[in-house]
Amino acid sequence: MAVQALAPRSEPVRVMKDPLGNSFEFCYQCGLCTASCRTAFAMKYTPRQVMNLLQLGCEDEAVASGSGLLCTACYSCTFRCPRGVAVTDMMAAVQRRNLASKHADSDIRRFYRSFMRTIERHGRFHEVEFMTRYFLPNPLLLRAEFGVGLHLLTKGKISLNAPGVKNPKAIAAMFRKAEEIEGRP
Amino acid sequence: MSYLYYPGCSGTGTGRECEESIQAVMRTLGVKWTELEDWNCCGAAVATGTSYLLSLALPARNLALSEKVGSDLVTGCSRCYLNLIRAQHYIQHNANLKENVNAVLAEAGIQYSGTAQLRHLLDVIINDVGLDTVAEKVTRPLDGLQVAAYYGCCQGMWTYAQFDSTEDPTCFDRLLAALGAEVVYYPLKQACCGGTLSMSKRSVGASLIGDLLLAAIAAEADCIVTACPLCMFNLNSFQNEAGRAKGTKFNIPVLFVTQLIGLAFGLPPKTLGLQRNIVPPEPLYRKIAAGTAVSSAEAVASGLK
Amino acid sequence: MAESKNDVKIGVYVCHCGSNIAGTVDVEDLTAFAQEQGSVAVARNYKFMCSEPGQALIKKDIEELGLNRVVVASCSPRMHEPTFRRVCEDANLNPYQLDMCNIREQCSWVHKNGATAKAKALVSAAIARAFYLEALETREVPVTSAVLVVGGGIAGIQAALKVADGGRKVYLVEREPSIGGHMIQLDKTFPTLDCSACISTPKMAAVKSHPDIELMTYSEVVDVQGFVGNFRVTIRRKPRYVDESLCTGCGICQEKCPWKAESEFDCGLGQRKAIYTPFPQAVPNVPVIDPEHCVYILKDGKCGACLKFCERGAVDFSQTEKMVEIEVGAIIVATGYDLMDPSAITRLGYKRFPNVITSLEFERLCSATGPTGGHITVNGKEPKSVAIIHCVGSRDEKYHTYCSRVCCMYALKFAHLIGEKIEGAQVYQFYIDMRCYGKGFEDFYQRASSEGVTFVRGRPAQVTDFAMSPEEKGKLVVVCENTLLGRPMRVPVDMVILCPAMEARADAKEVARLFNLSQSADGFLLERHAKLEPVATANDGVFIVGCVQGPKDIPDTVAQALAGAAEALSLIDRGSVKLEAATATVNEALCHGCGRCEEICEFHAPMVRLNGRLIPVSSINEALCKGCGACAVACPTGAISIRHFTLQQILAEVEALSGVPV
Repeated sequence: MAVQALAPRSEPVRVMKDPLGNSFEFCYQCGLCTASCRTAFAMKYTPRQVMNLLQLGCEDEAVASGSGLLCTACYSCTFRCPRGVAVTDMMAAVQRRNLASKHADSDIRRFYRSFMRTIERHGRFHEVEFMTRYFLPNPLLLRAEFGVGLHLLTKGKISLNAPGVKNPKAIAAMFRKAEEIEGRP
Repeated sequence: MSYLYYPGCSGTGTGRECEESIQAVMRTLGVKWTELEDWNCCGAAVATGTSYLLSLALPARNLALSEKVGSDLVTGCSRCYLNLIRAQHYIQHNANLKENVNAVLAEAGIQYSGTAQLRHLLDVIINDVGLDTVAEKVTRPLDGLQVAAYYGCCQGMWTYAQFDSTEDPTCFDRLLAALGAEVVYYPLKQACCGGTLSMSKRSVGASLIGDLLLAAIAAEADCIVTACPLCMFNLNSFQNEAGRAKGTKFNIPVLFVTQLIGLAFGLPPKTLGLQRNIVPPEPLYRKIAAGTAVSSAEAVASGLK
Repeated sequence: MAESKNDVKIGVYVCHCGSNIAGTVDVEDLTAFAQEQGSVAVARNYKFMCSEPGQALIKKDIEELGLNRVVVASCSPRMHEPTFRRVCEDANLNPYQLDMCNIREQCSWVHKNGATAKAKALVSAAIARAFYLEALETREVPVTSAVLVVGGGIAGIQAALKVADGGRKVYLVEREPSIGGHMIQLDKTFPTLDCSACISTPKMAAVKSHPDIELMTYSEVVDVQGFVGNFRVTIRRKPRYVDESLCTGCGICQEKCPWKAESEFDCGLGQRKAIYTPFPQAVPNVPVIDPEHCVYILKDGKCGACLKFCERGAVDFSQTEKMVEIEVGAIIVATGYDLMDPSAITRLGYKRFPNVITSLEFERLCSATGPTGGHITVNGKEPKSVAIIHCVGSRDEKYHTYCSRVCCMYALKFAHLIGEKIEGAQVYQFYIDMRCYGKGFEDFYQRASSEGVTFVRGRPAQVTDFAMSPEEKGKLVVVCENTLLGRPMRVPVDMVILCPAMEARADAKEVARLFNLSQSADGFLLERHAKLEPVATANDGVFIVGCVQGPKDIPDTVAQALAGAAEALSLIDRGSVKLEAATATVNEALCHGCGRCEEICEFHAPMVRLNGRLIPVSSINEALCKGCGACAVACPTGAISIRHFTLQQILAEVEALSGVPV
């Protein structure tokens, strides 16, 4: 087993730009978050371990692990944390960095992007456009969804022309402004 | 009292039966509401994966729209509710955040001041309309029907904390008891169904859904009732995959809360979108029709509410 | 002898306080500035004014330069006002002609820029005030040679014994029918595994037989008047309905009584009778009758079994509540703690599952005098596996942020006791940190490790009865993350013991008010200084000892009890207390007898009386007055002024600070 060298950091970890951000500093590693987490069993690093990685400045490792993607944002951890750490938001920040990085699973990244794209263009989730964007580049995915898809279709649960907002350009402008403020490319 | 209603994106699509049954039941209860004009998607469980600010600004736009009208904003989707109240809560406690959110909202020509009043559908039914009124409208008591009340995960922090207990909510149980149903002991009542993992990571999602279904079967529930369209979708659509994950076969009906309320009200199943449920709910009808004649008003009076 | 303006000679002393002040304030500049002020005969600065050489500096100047005012610019007066007052006294200068100027806590410690300028302003204000200071006489009052100890747990018992052994009279007041507190509920105690009852009952018996201790059980303090050395306390003695002087403690009444109630002593796990002693070794060994369960009382004379069977005729239903007034010189508050009720943390299943119990309930199960005669069983079944969950409601910002201090140790003790009583039992400890800091504690931890205890580092999220595998059927499952392995875990067990936080008693607020004490942020009562005055309080003459001050184990409790006894004896042996001279005084010519001062005073110092005059006027009982100034503010005519804080003195400060003539 390789010994990890911890190099001194020149900058503190800033997982989130916003002041709500760095509550992981308060984590005393009790494990209550992970014990409450329904998907921790499938994570490479449990939520508590992710907090520890952030404390140590090893955020890249946390990001690469993909743990953030398994967070369903149920907020059980944040609710119960005895030190007031906003665990869910920390996991979301790690997830965001994962999706923006080379470590992201391409299908999952496309899932998120397709979803958000329909909101950007219509102000509301557009099922057909989403399915096109998501499944077309990898039609094999459709195989797994065949049963569900058939059900939805035959029971009238795929909306073909649900209205969006009156002024979709405004929503798109909101997206761009958020990008600008957050300094995303 | 008149409300504003925030339907959420699933109402026209995957959650269509939820939407239909909500409208039918609220009409029967005489609740006056209008759909929030020009509402936008709250960001679901996806916006946080792209942008922290957007995950707050998208719901905030809806809150701001409701502020213009001034009425309480009601939503029947637990995830929408969570997003809206999270935005409300975070922005309230952080001036810097409020500034940034409003800078984003300015692009849409609106500002959020923080006076919006947000309500959950269950809260309105149980606390505003009242369980007495609900019990009065029951024409087909659900006696003999064993129901697992699935509260869902969007709990604790904000949802049930607002109008019930954070650690151990019972509002849903009380509502079902007012309809005459027997509420079974369901220890996984607040355990997450996996949300969008059923799509993005099927193996994990199926396992979580499987746990919930197993727990319902262990409790000898005839059906599961949920208050979230995404839970509804997950628990209905992936029973086969869940079965494979747990080495068994599942076929347990999962209803949206207003579908069950509507059945107890005697509303025709088609108005409640029951024909759209992926797991056929017909076996329940027989059970309900065969129920004994203990009226729900009595159930309420005996302290079950 | 009247002083003229020109006679005032002020000495100003600026302390460096090492680098605490000198690091931020330019002390040389400040000294030069002070020297230029009016009436200042000399201004000096020194590294540590409170030290011997520093004090000698002041003394020398007073003697050689004939100073009649001293201004010390240094730390807070709460630190060293007494020190410098003594210096003045030693040099034959009245101590009230000293003015302290705080340029540390209020200046150098809170400012980076502008500290020197502020210090100059503060010093000029102090000098201006010092000019108007007057010599005041302190009074000495005698101290009553008796001590009240409130609370009969181990802290109260120990304090009472030590004071009484010092030859002083002690009143020990205890709310329950017997002394013993929580300690007598315990089975064995860490780290020595002494039987708790075996070590505490001799002390309890000693209290009973001590000629200098008056024991009042089933009694409560309801009112405290007076001040240090001179307290008047009213005690309510609740009716036992049993005559203590006649009862022999034979116990037949308890045997014959047909009415049962939940035993508070057994934490509700067992029962007692309506006429009862809480446990067999009760002191005094005289039962009480519980009016809420006694049918004779509830139903007007029905029953009466105890009356019939008592051979001594000790049962007496005619007893009523009695109020007793005592006078004491010092009060030791030792009212102990409550264990938090973990029902609020529903996910741990307390009250939902009968096999989830608290630590105190487990002590009762282990105890030979407990509801199961010392067998660890729940509903008749003995557990083969037990989980002990640490930090329930402590180290948690939702309940109590503090660490409850004793739980890690008693959890280890429990593991040992379980191993002793149940052959082959498996014990799991769910902890976050193991806190074994005391003497012999680490050895105790090591011993537990060798007795087959499994330590899982992880705070459990849930205790559930929902089985997800065959091994879990019929068991309670503890859901946690094993943080050392980084692996979520489910551990099936037969019984779960929770270690809930020790918290302040439910009526801590009322007790604080009764004795004029403060509570810390965590709800326990506040000591005067966290390090140097652990048992004294802001209220002179009242001391707090034991868990009323914060969670602690028996060794620390006894140490504090002895400290409290030392404080009380020191006060009484001194024989007298000096009263602070900075009290209120009334100019009767201006007083109209409106009574607003009486209304507003918390300490009942002003009294408005006719005193042979045409209109009533107020007069201040200086022994009770704390010099807070509320009456002076409330007085509409300005008849009341506070010595050492006169209007003239305060306005002089304002004028100096603002530069505007007042």
